[in-house]
Formats: sequence, structure tokens, C-alpha cells
Amino acid sequence: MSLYIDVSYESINKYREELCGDKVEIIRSPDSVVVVLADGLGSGVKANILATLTSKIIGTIMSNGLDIEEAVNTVAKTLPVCKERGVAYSTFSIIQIFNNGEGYLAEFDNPSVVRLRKGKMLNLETESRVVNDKLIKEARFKVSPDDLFVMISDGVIHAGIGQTLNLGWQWDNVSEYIQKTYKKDASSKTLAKLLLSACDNLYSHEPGDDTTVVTLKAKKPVKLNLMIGPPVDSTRDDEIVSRFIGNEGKKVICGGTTSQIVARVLGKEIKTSIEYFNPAVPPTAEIEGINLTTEGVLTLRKTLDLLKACVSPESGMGDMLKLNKKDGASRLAKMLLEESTSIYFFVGRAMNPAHQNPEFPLNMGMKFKLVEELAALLTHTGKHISIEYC
Amino acid sequence: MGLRTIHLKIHKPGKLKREIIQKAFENYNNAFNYLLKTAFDNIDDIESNYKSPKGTYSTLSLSKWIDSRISNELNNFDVQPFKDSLKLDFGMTMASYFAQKQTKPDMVFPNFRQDNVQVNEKLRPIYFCRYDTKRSFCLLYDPDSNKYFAKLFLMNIKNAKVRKIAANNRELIYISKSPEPAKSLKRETFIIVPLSFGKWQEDMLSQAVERPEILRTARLLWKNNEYFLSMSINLPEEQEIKTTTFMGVSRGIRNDINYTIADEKGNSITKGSLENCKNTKDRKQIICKMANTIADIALKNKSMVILQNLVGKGDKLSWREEGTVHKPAYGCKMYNDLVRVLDYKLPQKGLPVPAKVSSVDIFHTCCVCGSNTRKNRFSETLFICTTCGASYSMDELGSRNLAVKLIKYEKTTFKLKARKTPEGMFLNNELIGLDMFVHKNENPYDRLKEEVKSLLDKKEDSYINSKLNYKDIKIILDKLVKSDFVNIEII
Repeated sequence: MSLYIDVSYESINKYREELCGDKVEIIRSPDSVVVVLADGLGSGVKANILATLTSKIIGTIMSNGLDIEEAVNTVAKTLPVCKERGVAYSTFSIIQIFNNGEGYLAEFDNPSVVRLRKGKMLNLETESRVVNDKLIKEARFKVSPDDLFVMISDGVIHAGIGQTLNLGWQWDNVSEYIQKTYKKDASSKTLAKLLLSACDNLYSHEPGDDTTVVTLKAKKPVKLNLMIGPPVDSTRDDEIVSRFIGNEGKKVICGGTTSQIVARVLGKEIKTSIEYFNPAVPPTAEIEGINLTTEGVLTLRKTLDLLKACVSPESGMGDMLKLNKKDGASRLAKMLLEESTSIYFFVGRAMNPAHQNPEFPLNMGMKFKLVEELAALLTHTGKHISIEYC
Repeated sequence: MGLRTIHLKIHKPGKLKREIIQKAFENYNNAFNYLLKTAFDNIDDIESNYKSPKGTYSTLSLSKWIDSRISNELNNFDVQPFKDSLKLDFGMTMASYFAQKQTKPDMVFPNFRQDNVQVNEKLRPIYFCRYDTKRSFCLLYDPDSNKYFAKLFLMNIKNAKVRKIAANNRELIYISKSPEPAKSLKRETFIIVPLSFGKWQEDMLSQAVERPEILRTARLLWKNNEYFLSMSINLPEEQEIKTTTFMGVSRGIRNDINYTIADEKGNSITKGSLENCKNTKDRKQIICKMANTIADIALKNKSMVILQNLVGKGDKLSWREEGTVHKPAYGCKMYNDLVRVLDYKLPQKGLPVPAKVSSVDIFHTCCVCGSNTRKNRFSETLFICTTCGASYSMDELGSRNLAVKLIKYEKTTFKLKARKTPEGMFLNNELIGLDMFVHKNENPYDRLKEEVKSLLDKKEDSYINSKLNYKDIKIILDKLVKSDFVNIEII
């Protein structure tokens, strides 16, 4: 079994703090992904340094196959000692998931990881051991597709204390909320943003503590093939379209001429839509066997804007919810960000006659630039990207 | 403001005055009972002879059935001061009876007794049909003590009394266009009684001193062994205030009542909760005080008030947790009573009549993203949206959703199903019964406008088989026309 682990994290700083005292480290290797969430003592610069050191050290050691004991010892020896309290301290949670479905969890003083399988709570049986005077809880488990792990810092369970809630958000409440919000198709990004948004709201947008949510969602790999622009050599139309259709996964076509070529080669009809969901985005079309057919450069640019907004650390749930709109750009952005794990771009290099018009603001270079920006952004989110220029 | 009724309590009448009032009640009720009895024996004649050409019955024409013979008969009950009032009271009763009978043929004739009325039974209020200083009833004012009195003509000449003591030597001034001092008479057919009232009534009375023409009729009531004067006042209409904000007023699970005021764009300006008056257990008083507070806030913010419609469908605000049911402080009946009071209190302040909107889902819909699911409710008092993470107290949420309901309604689109064919386009909306084809050479908007116009011209009967009733269809079409057909959504 090969799994794709969709990982995302979101943080909010304690009110009026420039730096976050929580730190997340994600280290992807060919056979596993290691995620460390460290919560430094106190807040501000000091907490940020403690958390950064802790997460970096643990992440590096664990991803190199060394034991948790080694990691904790190194952290204990390395961390600077707090002048006020006389301790070097950072709580942490570590999850390592291997592509073959094996999982490892280690926790020190952080709220327990929430684990859901197909939306239902599934307890992690942990064992405790003392390493360097620290009580570490460990678990080894099997990961299935649709498993969701949510790591949280204590800022999450303190949300709303003395404001909207008397005793804050208890761990049980958090897990209940995660179960309520669970959607099979939702990406780890959406889930992390949603939980963090709830915490921010409970804090009335003035967080009393650094708050971090890390979500890991195990998925079966989902491939997506995106064809943009006609091939430069029209004699290769049939071959390129055949390979595009023959590839495993979802199919998306961007561009009017490109869709005409695909429809001609496949012998299918293009049904154009008259629905303008968003005046800024051209309408979509339908070709049997193709999941989405859109206009070209304008839609791609809008898609890129939407993705940038979603991936930005400043973005909120409002940006993620825009992906649920029905226009071509929103649908494409959702497919790229939430519904696929690896994306194969077929980028045609033929000159578009419309782009020859000197008054037209877009040119061929701009199309390639858009594709490159899209690819870079999606790579950053952990997607496997391949680009073929044809 | 229009015709208003104010209730004034007759303040501690002495033994003699109580006897006079009680006797007047007895006489009035016996006379009215006699009129009903006589009318019942002649009901067919009255029904046919006093019907207008339009088939209706008027108070005035029915009161004319009491001719001089019956009028003389009434003298046997010593009701000379009430004769005009009795005629009109009878006319009103009969007009109401005939009007109801037209829609409900088995309508029962107004109840009457075969013998004389008993003092201890429920007595009909005495009606005073005009405001007059010389007969019927009028008000007097003591400018020194700022006290008000009622002069009630309750006796005929035969039973007139001699007043022993002038009313504390105070000089009482008639509230009339010529405000003269009241003089004692040797034999008086009236009694002068002091009145007690609240601030609101005092405001009305002080207006009456300035403008006596606003005073109209009155009824003398006997309730719980106390006497009240229920008086009609015709106040001029307040200048209507142009509202610039919306005020949602909902019941709450923690607070009694909650409100949110939103601007015209739907942004929340201010919010708050209101608690019942703790000084009284009288439910009516509690509701009146709450309504006054709401009306004052609405006036201050120039708000259009939006209330929950709790008739029929509820708002599902109650919450069950670990076997305990948490219920809102205001039950449906109490909230509806508040709505009824606000219905007249707000126009009194020059504000529009409050809008009543469906309260279904106001406590389950996120006011940020619009997500509507019961999963959004997290506890008795906490709402956390499962779609966008927004959190609110349940109490705040309800009033906030109400405050933006009208704005949202204005923004709702008219959904039109479109199906394209090589020849043109089919446009359809099942709700209003629109089903049309636009040829490819025609302008779809022009054709749609024509079709909507023809739908508006259709008669009510044509919509019998429609999914919506005629009124609702007309509202949708009017909104479409008002927006110049721009709020259309093709689906």
C-alpha cells in the first residue's frame, strides 16, 4: 500500500506578539514524512527560539532514522536555559508516517493528537517511558487511507477561556468539533484553517496564547492531468491527446483551441455553458470523459490568484470557501489543491493567434510563467508535479 | 398616531360614589338587556329593514331602530343620561352580529337575560358616546396639584344628589376649548372622581389639556372591585421616521431578549441583551416595559425592527443536554405577546410596523458564511460554524441573523432554469409558472420582460394550480420588475 500524506499547519500568534512560540517542522523523505510540533516555554522571541531549536533538532534526528531517546537527549543538552525559570523547556509532538502505512507518535506535554478514521474518533493506545527525566508517550500504529491526525498546541484548548467560554475549549470539545467538521473531500489545509479560525473566533481575535493546528490526512494518491494549449506540432495532436486521455487520473483542459483539438480527436461534442457564475471568469464547457473544460489564460490566472490566497499564511477560511464556487477557476483551483496528490501538466507550445494582437495583454511567455508559478505553488503544498512541454 | 385607548383608574371612590356607580351599572345593563331582548323578538324585521343597498349594516342606522316608543320604555330603567350611548352601543353590537352572521350563518345572537341583571355578575361597561362638559362625560384638571378628574353623568334628574362638600376647595378646570372652572350645582346628576395613572397616560392627558378635541368616547369598566375609565383619544399621526438601520430582536436561551442593530450593508453596529423588569411579576407589565425599551432603542438608532415569526414554525432554540432541556426564557406565547405590543408601540414612535420574518434556522445559520446546519450548535449557548469556524453566543446569533434578513431578502436572486438548443433557449421557473422559449434572433431580456408583464396581468384564478399562491408570486414578480431584471440567476 502506498499512501500520500497531505500535511498542513496553521498558527496564530499570541495577541500583540510578533513571533509565534509554536513551531512546525515537516520533513518529507522518499519513504516517510516526519512532522514535529514544538511549543516553546512562554511567548515571543524566547519561545520562538526554543520551539525552533526543538523542532529542527527532533525533525532532523527522526528523519535520519534515529531514536526518540537520542532526540530528547540532544534537545535537553542544546536548549538555552531560561533565566527566569532556570529550565530549558519546549513541549512537542512528533508524528512519522511511512509510505507503507506504518506510523509512529511521540508526545511530550502537548495535548494528545486527535485521530479520526473515516470521520470517527479512533483512540491511539500510547505507552509511557521516561527519557532524560521527561515522560514521553509513544504509540506505533497502522495508517489507512482517510485517516486524519490533528496535532494541536495548548493554545487550541485554551481558546475562549474567560471570554466566550468559562473554562476554554476542552480537548473533548476540540475532538467533537473536528468530527463535526470532517468532510471526506476536505484537504488538510482546509481542516487546519477551519479549526484555527474557530480558535481565533473563540479568542475574539485576541489570542491569549500561541495557537497551532497541524493536520495530516492519509490519502490514496490521486492523479490529475492538465492540458494547456495546443501542441506546437499539429501533426502530434492525436498522439498527445491519446497520451493525455490514456493517463491515469482526472482530466482537465484549459483553452478553447485545446478543447476543440481534444474534442476533434476523441470525436466528442463540446457543450458550452451559458452560466456566468463570476463575470471575471469565462464560462466552462463540457466534453464527455473530461472532468473540467475551461477557457485558457484568464482562467489560469484567476486559478493562480485563488491558490495564492489559499496558501498564504495570512489567508482565512473565507479564501478556502471561495474554492466551493462554481466558476471554472474556482473548480480548477479546488481540483488542484484539494482533490489531487500528483499533477501532470501537458503544456502546448503552439502560438495562439489571439495572442498575436499587440493590444492583447497576454503572450506565450506569460502562459509559461503562469504554469511555472502554478507548479511551484503546488510543489510547495506537497504535490508531486510533472511538466511536459509539447 | 391615530385612535388610542388609555386606561385610567378611578382613585378610591367613596361609599356614596361607589353606590352611584354601581346603580348606574345596574341601570345601564338592565336597559341594554331590554334592548337585546326586544330586538331578538324582532330580529327578522331588523335584519331585512336595516340592511344597506350594499348588503351591509351600519351602527348608526341600526341605532335608529330604537324609536321614541322604545326610547320611552328605556326611561323605566333611569338611564336618561345614557340614552344616546345606549343607542350607539346597541347599534354597534347588532352591526357586529349581522356582519359575523354573513360569514357564519349559525352565529348565535348576543346573550341576554330574561330577568334583570344581578349586581355580582359580569357587567357590561357603560359607554359614554361623547366628550361633553354638560352631559355624558368630561375631564377636569387641577393645575396646582397636576391632578386629573373625571366628571361622569350617571344619574337622571330624579336621582340627582346634593353635594355636601366641595372637592377639597380645589379649583378644577374643565379640559375643553373654553377651560372654565367647574361650579357646584344644587342638585348634581354627575359625580366627579379623581383619576390615577402612569407616566404614559399623563403624557396623553397633558396633550389633551392643550388640544381637548383629541378626547373622544369612553367606557366605564368594573374589574376586580375597582373602576376604570377606558378612554379613546385621537392623537395626530407622528411624523414617520425614515429608518436607516435594522434591529433584529430575538428571544434568547441565556438572556430574555437580545437585539442587534445592523447598518444598511448588514454590518453589525451595536448589540445587547435585555432582561425583564424585576420589580413586577405581572406578565403584561413585563412585556410592556420590554416593548418600551425596545422601542426606545429602535427610535434612538432609527431602526426598522425585525421580529421572529413564531406562529406555526418554531426556532428550535431549546437545547437538550444530559437529560435536561434548556428552554428560552420567553416561550412562544410570551414572545408573540411582545410582538403584538410592539406592533402598536413602534408606530406610536413614528417607526414602521415591525417586520415578522421566519425564525426557522436563525439559531443554526452562520452569519459569516451562511452555512445552515444543526451541527453548528455546539452547546446550549455556543455556536461554532462547522464550515468557516466563526463562533457566536447563541443569543447574539439569533438577533444578528434577524437584523440582516431583509437585506438578504433584497439580495436574493430570481432563479431561472435555462436550456440552450440550436434554435434558441428555454427559460423556466416552476415556482411562478414561467415557461418560455426565446428564439435565437430574439433578445432574451426583452422577451422575459414581456412574459413577466403578462404574468402580472393574469387574474388570481389563473394561479390556482401554481406551486405558490398568487400573493407570493406577485411579490416575486414585483421584486423582479423593481430591480429592472438584474437579480436573475441562471441555473
